[in-house]
Amino acid sequence: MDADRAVADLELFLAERGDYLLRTAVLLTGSREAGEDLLQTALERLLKRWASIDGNPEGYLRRTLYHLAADRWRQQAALRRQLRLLRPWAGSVVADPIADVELRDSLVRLLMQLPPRQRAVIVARYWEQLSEAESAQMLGCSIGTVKSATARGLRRLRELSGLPDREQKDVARPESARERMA
Amino acid sequence: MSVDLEDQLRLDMERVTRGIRVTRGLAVKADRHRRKRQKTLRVAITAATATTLVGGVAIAGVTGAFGSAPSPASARTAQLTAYVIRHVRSALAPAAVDNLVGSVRQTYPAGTTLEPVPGGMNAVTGGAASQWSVASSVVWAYRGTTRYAAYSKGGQPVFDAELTHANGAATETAVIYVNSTWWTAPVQTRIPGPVGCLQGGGVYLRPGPGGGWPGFIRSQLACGAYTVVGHQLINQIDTIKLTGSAPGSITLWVDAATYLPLQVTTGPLHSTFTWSAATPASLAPLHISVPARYQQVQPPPSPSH
Repeated sequence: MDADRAVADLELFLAERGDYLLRTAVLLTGSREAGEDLLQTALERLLKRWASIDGNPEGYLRRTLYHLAADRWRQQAALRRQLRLLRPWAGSVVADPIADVELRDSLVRLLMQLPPRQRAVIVARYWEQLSEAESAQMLGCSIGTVKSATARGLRRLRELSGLPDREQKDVARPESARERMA
Repeated sequence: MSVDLEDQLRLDMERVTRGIRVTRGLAVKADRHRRKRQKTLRVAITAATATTLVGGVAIAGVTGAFGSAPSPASARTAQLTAYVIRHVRSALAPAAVDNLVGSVRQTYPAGTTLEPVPGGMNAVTGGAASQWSVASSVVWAYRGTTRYAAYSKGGQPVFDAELTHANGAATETAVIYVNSTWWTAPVQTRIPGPVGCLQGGGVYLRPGPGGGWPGFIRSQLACGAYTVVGHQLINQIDTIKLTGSAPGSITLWVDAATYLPLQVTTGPLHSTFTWSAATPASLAPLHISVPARYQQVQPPPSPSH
């Protein structure tokens, strides 16, 4: 049966690339549990469109991971707003509901405090080592957006972490593997 | 020294996700879930069509079959509660708390006596004053090591006990300050059972990995009778308060940012928690030392249960 064959093929693919994709999902969501959940949802979408995927499914899976992560941030932001409604006093308190204990004190934990687009861009640029153009293509935005989101995200991380600013350096330029080879 | 944020970021991403392996069978699971959702969707579409055709009669039928529908407010509270509990349980999972040094400060009602015995305490509340009278205690725990320090009403140390688990065996050493003695004894370790709902009041802290306060709180929350009742500031920290409706339930305040418990009350017992990263300074209180000239004595009998 075609569906069974698709699942079997996908298992083989995951045996090779699944760990990397899950690590990406964990960085996008902030926890192992949420990362697995995200990857599973992305796999469901992939299976639904399996017949129309030509060749390696990784590109589709990665794009789906990033787009789904943004959806979930929106859902969680709504939950955070509801939680605030229960507070007996006014004023905002920084809440980080998707933080995992093992991420404490690391820059990855601070990443959770960035807005969705900045966070996705940082993961794409510094975890996946994608160029600005590659990141823009995967996230479905312009290169200018990637540049500005990266710069803002790094600036915010620097503020949050208390790490000193690097002198006279462009803060948003990791070379991609492709750029290094060129 | 200039620290390169980008390099640190790459290192942290690598470190935090190192060792993460995808579960085998995830594609099968995703496929099963997809089929189930398709089936649910078909049923929902069929039901919606039937409701549209039958109109008011169908709505009355549904209400009669399931009783009054939950109000939007209670549904929202239930959703928030589930969300908070899921995160508290995750924050207290063994893999998560294993890297933290937890400490618990407890205050006891007047007339509480505690005597350390290998593998536990002989506890009496409402009793007469004795050398074992305690007013408060502090417990430090990190992985397989736990230290329990008890204090009198005047803040004087009554006893110190250190329990260490290693290679499936456990040893307890206790220093009794009130009579300048100490003892050491092997402790019977039991394999912790499955963590589930523990009801009936009291605090039961299972020894060893997966036990202690984190295990106890997880087991309480598994009872499913807890509700988020609001936020409260405790020492300038935003906390979420949860209460249970079942007899013997605990009341719990968790840090709204980390979901780690900061306070627990159960009956007359009040416990305050702190959680720190494992550093030489935070690990230092875990170990006790026997003062010079203290006399070693035979350990008292273990608790009978």
